Amino acid sequence: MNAKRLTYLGLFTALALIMGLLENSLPPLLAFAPGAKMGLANVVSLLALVILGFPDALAVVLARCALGAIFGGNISALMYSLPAGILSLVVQTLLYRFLIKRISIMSISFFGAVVHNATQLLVAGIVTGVNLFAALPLMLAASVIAGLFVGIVVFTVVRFAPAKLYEFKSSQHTAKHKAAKGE
Amino acid sequence: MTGLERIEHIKKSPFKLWDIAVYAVSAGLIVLLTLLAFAGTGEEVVISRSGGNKQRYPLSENRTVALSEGLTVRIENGYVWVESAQCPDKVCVRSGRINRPNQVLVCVPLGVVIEISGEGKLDAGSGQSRTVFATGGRL
Repeated sequence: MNAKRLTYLGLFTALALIMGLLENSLPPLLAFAPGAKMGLANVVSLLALVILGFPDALAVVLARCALGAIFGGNISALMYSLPAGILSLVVQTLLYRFLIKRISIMSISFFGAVVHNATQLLVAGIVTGVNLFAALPLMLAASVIAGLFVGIVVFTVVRFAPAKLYEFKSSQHTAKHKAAKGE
Repeated sequence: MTGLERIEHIKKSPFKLWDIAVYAVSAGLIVLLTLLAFAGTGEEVVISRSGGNKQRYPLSENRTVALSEGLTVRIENGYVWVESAQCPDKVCVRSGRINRPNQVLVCVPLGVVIEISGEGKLDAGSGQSRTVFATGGRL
């Protein structure tokens, strides 16, 4: 692991934690559902996926969940955040790998939000032993808003960020090329 | 496809053709699930408090319930709403009136949940599902 990659990982983890803090201090997304989050941290997960790739994005998500739980003083939050974070990243990665030609980054982040919220709902259902069907429409509606917002942010960053940001990606790319050419 | 090519695909457009299908299907699902979850008529107002005891009132009788937590609940003409609350965020007051089964009014700081039970098309576990979601499992 080179120093640059390590720096990126630290930077992304710090950003994700800040996003989480920021989100907690904002008014709720929907007045009637104070628990529905915008999922600002997903901006960072998605950017990490695009810029660094899946393994590094996963590392950022794991670090964010662990540190977030410690800083928040609520270790049981891991029970919700960890499966939700991992599953939504996996789904977003698959969509990004295979469907980015057909669907926009906004749709991908929307799917990420749906999976994230659905997983949390499922865990909540298992923990409390309550049937959660009536929460589904609300969950979906919140995910549309969250997904669109996160998608717009990620699109804007990727679209207007200097090419230097992807240096890491391109150095990997040329390394692969060199290896393929047998240099 | 390499990472850089994928990044070019992101940059191409914030909207793509298949997005229409994605949003159409989810809009349809939201409408369908909402109709299913909140269809039917409400019968009873159930007030749950953090102490664990539940108070039940028929939705059809007009009355005002003052809770010791500092919450005033009004039941009138088949609707329920929170008239006033001594909490900092006033989310429950701003939530407005409810009249359908499975709808809830939640006051997280005071630990009070007001829900309507009744004949819903979906069994929603007496509305607690929305409570769990709305409070992020904190109640």
